[in-house]
Parts: sequence; C-alpha cells; structure tokens
Amino acid sequence: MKFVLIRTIINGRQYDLEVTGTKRGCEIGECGACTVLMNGQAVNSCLVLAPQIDNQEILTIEGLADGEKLHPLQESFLDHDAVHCGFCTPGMLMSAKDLLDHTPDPSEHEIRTAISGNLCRCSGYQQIVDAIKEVEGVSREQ
Amino acid sequence: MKPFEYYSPQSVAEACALLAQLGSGAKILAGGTDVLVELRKSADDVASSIIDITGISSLKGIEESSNTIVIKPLTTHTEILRSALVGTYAPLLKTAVAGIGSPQIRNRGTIGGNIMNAAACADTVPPLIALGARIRLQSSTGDRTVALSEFFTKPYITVAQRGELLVEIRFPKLPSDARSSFMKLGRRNALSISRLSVAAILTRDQSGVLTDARIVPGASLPTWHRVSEAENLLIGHKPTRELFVEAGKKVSDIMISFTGRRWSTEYKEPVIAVLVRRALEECH
Amino acid sequence: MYRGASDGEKKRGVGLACSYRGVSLGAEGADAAETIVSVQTDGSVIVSSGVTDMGQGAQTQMSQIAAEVLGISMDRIQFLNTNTSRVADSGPTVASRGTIMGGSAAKNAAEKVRATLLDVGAEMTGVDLNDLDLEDNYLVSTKTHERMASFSELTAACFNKGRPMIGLGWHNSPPTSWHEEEGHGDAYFTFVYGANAAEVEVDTETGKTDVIDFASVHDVGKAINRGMVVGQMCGGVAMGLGYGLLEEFEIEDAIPKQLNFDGYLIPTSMDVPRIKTIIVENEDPMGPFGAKSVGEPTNELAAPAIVNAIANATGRRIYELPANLERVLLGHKLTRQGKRGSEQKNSIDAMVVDSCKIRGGKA
Repeated sequence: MKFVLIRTIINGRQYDLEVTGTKRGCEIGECGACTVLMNGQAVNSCLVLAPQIDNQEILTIEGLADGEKLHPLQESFLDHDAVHCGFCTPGMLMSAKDLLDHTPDPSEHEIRTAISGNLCRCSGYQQIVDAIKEVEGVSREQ
Repeated sequence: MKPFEYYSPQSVAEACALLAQLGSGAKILAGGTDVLVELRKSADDVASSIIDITGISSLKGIEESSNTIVIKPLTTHTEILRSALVGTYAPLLKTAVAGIGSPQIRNRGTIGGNIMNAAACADTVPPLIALGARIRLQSSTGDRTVALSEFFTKPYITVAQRGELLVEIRFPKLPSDARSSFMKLGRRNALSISRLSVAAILTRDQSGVLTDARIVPGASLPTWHRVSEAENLLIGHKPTRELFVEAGKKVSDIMISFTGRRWSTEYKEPVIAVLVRRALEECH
Repeated sequence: MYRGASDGEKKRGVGLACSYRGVSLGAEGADAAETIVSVQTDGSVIVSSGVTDMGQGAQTQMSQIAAEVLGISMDRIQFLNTNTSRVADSGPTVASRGTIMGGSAAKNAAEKVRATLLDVGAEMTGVDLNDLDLEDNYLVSTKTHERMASFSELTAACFNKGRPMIGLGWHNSPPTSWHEEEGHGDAYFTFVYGANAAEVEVDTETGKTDVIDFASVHDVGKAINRGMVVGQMCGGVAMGLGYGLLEEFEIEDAIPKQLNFDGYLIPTSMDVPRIKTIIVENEDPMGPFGAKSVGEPTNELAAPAIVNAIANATGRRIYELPANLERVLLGHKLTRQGKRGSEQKNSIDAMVVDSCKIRGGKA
C-alpha cells in the first residue's frame, strides 16, 4: 500500500470537508484545540495522519449534539457561562466527553486532569470545570 | 508539510522489509506525537517515507511470565497507566507515564516511541533502566537483545542500526520488598517537559540495612545510566536523611563530571541532589 | 508573620495587589464609538458596532443593553461582526472600553428606536405616549399593565407608517480634567478599583511555585452579564498567573525565541487554582446602566499579588518576571547559550541535555 499525502486529520477536515467545528491551533499537540475522539479516546487530531483513521470511529464536535438537541455537556457549558471566546470549547467538550464516558462522577482533580491538554487563554478554566462537574442527564454508563 | 510516501505494514516482517528497502529516508510512525511535529518542519532532513506500524497488532500489549513483565512497543502511555501489572510490578513506571504530556498525548504516545526518540527528557527511560529493562530489536536479517542502559550513546543517538525495529521491552518484576519512586520536576503541572527527573529503587533486609539501591537521573546526564557511585554509598547502610543527602550530592558531582559547568549547572547542581534525596525518601 | 509559614522545604505566603485604573482612553486621545440598532419588520433586531469583540463578550453586552432598552428578549437579536463598511470605525478594542463606549452607543441607538416605536404605539392605541412602555416583547400600558400590542405588531405598524426603525448611536467620551501643559488633573473621566490576594506554596529547594488559593475583587460599575464578568475575572487571573510564573518571551537578534505553545508556556487547568470572585457594583453615571470596565483590570493584579506572596514566603523579592524555577531559586534568570538540544540533534558533537523540547515522552 502506498500513498502520497500531506494532510493530517485537522487539515483534511478544514479544507477538504469544510467542516470547521474542530479548531486548528498549535499543530504540535500542545493546545488541544483540535481534540476529537478516536475510538472513544481524546486525541489531538493534528497528530493523526488522515489514513490512520481508516476503519476507526471518529467523533468530532459536530457529532456531539443529537440533531438540534444539544448534548448535556453543551447545555451545561451554556448554563455555566463556560464558553468565553469559544476557541477552546470544541476541544474541551471532546475531552470532557471522554472523561464522563469513563468516569461517571469525577472529582475536581479528575476533571482538571482530563482537560489539562486543552489550553484556554481567557476563561481561567473555572466555569468549564464547573460545567463538567455539574452536568445533568448525561448517560454515565460503561 | 512536505509530501511523503506512506506505508502501513501489517506485520513485523513486512515492516522490517520496508525498512531495509527504503533506507535512510524512512521513518517509523508509532504514536506520532513527535514524528508528526517533525514532519511539519520544512527542514531538508525530514523523512521522505513514513512507515506506520500502528496496524501491527503483535506490537501491542502488556504481558507477564513468571517473573518478567513484557511491554510491547506500541503500548500507549494511557494503557501503561491503567495496567494492573505495571501498577504492581513497576509502580515507578506508572508514576512516570502519569506525568507525560496530557491525556491526548498519553492516549497516542507509545513507550516504544519514547525510547526510540531518545530525547534526554524521555520520562519512561529512567524507570526502565532502573528496572533493568532489555529491549529486542528486529531487522530483516535477524534480531538481537540489548540492555536499555547500553542502548543510548548520545542525546537522540542510539546503537540501533538502520533497518532495526523495536519489538519488545522486557524487565524483571520488582520484588515485593523493593520500594521505588519517580520524581519529575517540570515548569508547570501538566503538558510539562522534565527539567530534571530521578528514578529510584531501594531494597532493604529485615534489619533495615539497604541491600540494593538503583538511582537513574533523567534530563541530566548525556545518556541515562545508573549512578553506581551514589548507589554504593547506600548499600550496606541503614537509610538516614544524611545518607540520602550525600547520595544526592554524589549524583550532582557525577553529572558535572560528564557535562562540565554549563549555563544551566548553577540550577541543576543543587536541584538534582534535592530530587535524588526526595526520590530516595519516597522509597523509604 | 503569615500563619501558614513553616520551616520546611515548602513555604507558604500570601500577597496582595490593589489598583485603581482609568476607564477607556481618557486623556490619551479621541474616544468615540458607534453602535447601530436596526429593528426589522418582523420584530427581530440587528445590532452592529465599530467596537470589535475578540472573545471578551462585547457582542453579548451590547445586545443585552439594546434588549433592555427595547423591552425584548435576547433571542430576537442578531449581532453582526464588525465591518467598517456599514458601521463607523470606533477605535481599537483596548483600554477596557468595550462596554462603556460600545455599550453606551448601543443604549443611545436603542433609545432612538424606542422613541419611534413608542410614538407609533401611541398613534396605534390612542394611549398617551408617557403611559406606554416596552416590556417582555410587548407594548404595555404603564397605568393598566395591559398588553396593547406585541413587539412584532408594533414593528409591522411602524414599517407600514414609513417610520425609520434604525438608531445610529454615537458615544463620545466625556472630557477629562487633565491639563497636559501643567501636568495635573484627572487623566480619565472615571476609574475602576480592584484587589487580588494570592496564596502560594514555594518549593524552596527547586523554585517551583504553585498558586494554591486566590481571591479577585473588582468594582465593575454594574455587571451587565454576571457570568461573563466572572469569566473575565477568572481569565484575567489565569493570564496574570502565567505572566507572573510561566510566560517567558525572549527576543534574540530581533527574532522571538518562543514561537509556539511548546516554548511559550501558558497555565493549564492544573496550574490555576479555584478563584474566589467578588463583584463590586459601584454604578457610575458615565457608563451604560452604570457599567464601567472589567477586562484589563482583572489581568493586571495577579502577577504582583503572586510575587508579593513569594516574597512573603521566602523573604526574597523578585523584580523580573516570570518568577520561574531559576529566578525563584537563584534570584536571577539563566540564559541558554546556543541552540536547545532537540535542535542540535544532528550535530554529533552536541552533548546537550539542557533543554529538551520533546515533552517528557511522546511518540
């Protein structure tokens, strides 16, 4: 098998598919703005080559809501004023989903660890942590 | 990003054949957390071919035999963190991977990549050397086993030959009477590169006398190795704070004997001694 | 002596920093802004302003102010991104002037439309203009509290009568008493006041400093949106914490050394403590509904509060930021000579372990 390619997922998504929810940040895996779930795990999409997602399950921010119905995490972010400028928000939500899918009732420390790969410049993280802590109605099985 | 050729072999044999065929322009891709950063640079020496080994299932997983733990190189830091075997038989390795990067980095980054990248601040290496790890390298012409302590020759340089693929990391289980620790000093509390680190293992007999001591500093020596001069200060004695302080000072002296006095020595000289003392105290 | 102080390796200390600072540009120069409120026939409202929102919440506060004046819910409002082809250049997003300038212009614009709407409402209903109000998406009688018409019916009527439902709001800042030649007077027309308290734990053997508790108090005049004010306060503290402890920005031969987030370290969620925020409302007649500033004031106090706390903990004062490992332990910074290890990896002579760019282990 041989390809020539110059795209990672994050490049491919933005320019080929015109799907812009996932944000392009540092492109070196330091900021988490481009976080998506790959087989249920948070990954920096800038560090995954496009052919590596063949046959893998990828969830991006676009797939978090159920149609017009927001995911409980999204509702909670709105309720807690956790969206400040909003650039880190899609990545934060994906990291938070990974956490809640695996840890039903996380402590503040577990929440802060789970989003420690998602840099936020303007919120100070506090309302984001509160939104994840006080999310309601999220399915917490697994 | 420059164009490159992409290969995804499904077996070790296939990967080794590709390595032999493609030569020096080929680069192995595992977790990608360093390789993709490199690929984005426009430097001339960026790889022209990428051999993505993540599809080789035989290179994944953690196993035990009677008194050995085997970690396959594609095992991610998250998998090591969640492994009960590692938690029981190599707790210092668990501590080390817990402090690597971020959840996203730990979900993708692999122990094999951490070793093969050979950066002086690689956090899995000091614990592995303290544990007495050996690694197996395979190529199209054969395979060999190397002690990890003899694998690195300079920062970013190893004895691995072109065409060799890391296929296994193996170390003896830590005995139940041994105590271990890993200390990392970074600039912040996540997404942090080790400014300095120390892996330590202590074993004592029933009277409290130390029978074994292993100290491996990280991000301080040109290559990692146990500092036997400091270890020998401990063996045969009962542990005291003064003794640990002395061992810390010895590690500091040894570091300077290798690196000379550099711009950062003013900081590293006292602090590596402190970290060694604390790592030993943590084993207490 | 601070109660938490100890003789151990890790010492704790508290630090305080206070400020009063000018709101908007003041005597620095011309200070004016435009906001346009354009009510549509269907009762929806378009707000646009020359004051740019770069994430701080300017669009939200201006929309809220327009909604308040027009007695409508926020969901009727759409805010258009700033474009000087349709709204006047209103100067830069600086000096914490977004709310007091853009918000005042929004209030001014909405009040113009409101006057037209009430005038048409009086014609429609025969009720005296002074007995009408706009409330909860309705035209209401202030005497009987009766709903006379829905906001949409009112806007449709206004359109059909050919009356303009656009308000061009312009706000010019009031003069200051500053006397440039003689060098006296107040340089700003109003001021905000703030105080931050930090508690730190300093590892005196490594220089590692953790901020373990923090309180931030600010007089904002009037909090137009409390959630966003708290966000600004926490974000300001986090940014100030980075400025105080982490964010090194060095320039060598005119080229910055820190070019991405691997070198320019901003605080993560693990570095910022829980912050106690206290909003003080000291309404100011110069601001819309009494609002003043909240952006920059929240950012300026964290670093001084933290270094004061370090001095309290260690007895040694740091005069150069960031107070990183080396400055806290040694009292001065260390400067790397030559390139970092990872950049030299192809040079066989490089025996460099000083600074490793690869994060503790990746790949």
